[in-house]
Amino acid sequence: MRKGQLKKKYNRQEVITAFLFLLPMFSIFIVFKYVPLLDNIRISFTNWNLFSSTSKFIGLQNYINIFTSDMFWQVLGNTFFYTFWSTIISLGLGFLMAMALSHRKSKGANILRTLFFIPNITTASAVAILWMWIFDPDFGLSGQLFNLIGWESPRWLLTPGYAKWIIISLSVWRSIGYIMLIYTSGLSSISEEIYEAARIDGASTVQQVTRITIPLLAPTTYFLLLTTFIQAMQVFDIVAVMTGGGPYNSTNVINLYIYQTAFARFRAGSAAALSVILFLLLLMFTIVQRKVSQQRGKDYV
Amino acid sequence: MSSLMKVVGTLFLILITIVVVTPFLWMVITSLQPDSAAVLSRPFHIPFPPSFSNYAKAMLVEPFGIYAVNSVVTAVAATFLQLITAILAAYAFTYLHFPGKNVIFLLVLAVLMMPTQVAIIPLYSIIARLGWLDTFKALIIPFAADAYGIFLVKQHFQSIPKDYVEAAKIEGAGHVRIAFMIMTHLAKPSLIAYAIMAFKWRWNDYFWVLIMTSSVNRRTLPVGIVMMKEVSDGGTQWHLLMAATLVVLAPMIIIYLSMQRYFTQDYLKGGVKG
Repeated sequence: MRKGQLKKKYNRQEVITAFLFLLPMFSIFIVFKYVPLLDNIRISFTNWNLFSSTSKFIGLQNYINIFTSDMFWQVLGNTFFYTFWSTIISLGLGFLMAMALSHRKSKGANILRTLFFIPNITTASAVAILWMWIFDPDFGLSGQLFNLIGWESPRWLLTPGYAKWIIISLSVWRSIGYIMLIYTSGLSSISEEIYEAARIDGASTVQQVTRITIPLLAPTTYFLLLTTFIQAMQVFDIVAVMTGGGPYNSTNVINLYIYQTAFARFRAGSAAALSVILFLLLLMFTIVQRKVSQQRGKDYV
Repeated sequence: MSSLMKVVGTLFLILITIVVVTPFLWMVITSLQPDSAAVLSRPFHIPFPPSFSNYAKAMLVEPFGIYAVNSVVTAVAATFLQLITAILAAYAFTYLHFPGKNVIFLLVLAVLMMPTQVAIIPLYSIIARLGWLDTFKALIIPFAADAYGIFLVKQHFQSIPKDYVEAAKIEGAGHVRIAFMIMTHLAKPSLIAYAIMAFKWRWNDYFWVLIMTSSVNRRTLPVGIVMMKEVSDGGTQWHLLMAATLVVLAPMIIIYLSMQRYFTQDYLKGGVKG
């Protein structure tokens, strides 16, 4: 309806207003988003130490050092281990919770939906401390419970095999409520008539779930899978607080490794190179997510 | 659904309820113990009378009160600025005609793919060069604009009939007045929902505050609570630490429970960050 007007030249007053309206946002993005991202690439080719006013261009040396270090591959492996398991377990449990609560319209069911979401809004560093107290082998909940049956509690956070699962458990605890909520809205969009028709055709409950519910929820699952995955790749708080990457780097993840490299070992060039690698990994998954969302015609962000 | 499935479902829900609630219960019980000795000797015993004074004590343990004030000040300020920049930008994208609109909007969307963590080294050096290390500015200004917020508010503005804006123009209202008086009023629910989310991101942030601040006077609760734990290592006063943890978690839980209707799934879909 405004086509004719659009063809005309822009109204000067309006363009100036638009410029002024966008200026605050853009100043912030330029200084704190675009410039740092580009500057990070430049720093990744230098041997900068975070404080000195000079740095030397050393080409791909930082990248070569990273890809030839065992530590990097271990940290990357840990990151994917954490990301994979916390995503899979959260999605599985969240889906089952949404299923178990569907068709329940009682007050109790609503209270449970509210309750299950609460961990999602908690402060990660604070609940990490709570988790340390729960899994404290001497006097914490774990220590006390093992004490009751006369056993000694494992030293959860000091044992490489256990520590990563304790961290995953906190991540799962914080995210299942969110996943349940998104699945609940997905479930509510499936029409009851489809199930009705299936029942008439003699489909069992299990068949209804595997043949109707799961396929129809596929777009929701793709969305949750990729966003949870991208989110988990960037884990920092809970690992930094609970284990600091230990024991023996068994829980060290890429973001924590970047932090340690830059702010404890002052190898800013190397840390910048690690950041570029992380950025490219995240970008790859984000592009996959966009592609999938577009194909599925969904309006997810 | 068959009755067998219903029973299995109920059992599963009971199990999940236990898993979700136990950590909170453990935190509350510990936080009400009268002293460290009671924490260690009879941990499951719900203390009577419960020591509610622990919450006051935790707040008084130096410098927990300062952390709390810093958290409130920085989170409220950043949320407020984010709302203003988002309203301005969303208004320009929705109602104003200017060259390069689509390209500029793509640049905003690109920001969604740039989490803070992936450029933390240059960000640290920028904050240092600005002389903002260990200041409130470092905790507020970089968060004065957020791409996700602009996207959300723009989406809501688009759903409001253009007639409102046209009518206001005829009445002689300027763009600033239309954006802040009329649009803000019409888009109130989504602005509130977004404000809650923005507040949550700042309230819960640990990474940025850890890197950009160094003195007790500038740290916020998420970092402060970890400092409290580290300082006391060896003889952790768990009853006070758990009382402090509860104080950190309580504001967001209260906001969530009282403003639950704003936590609609549309907003949550993009809210995975933080």
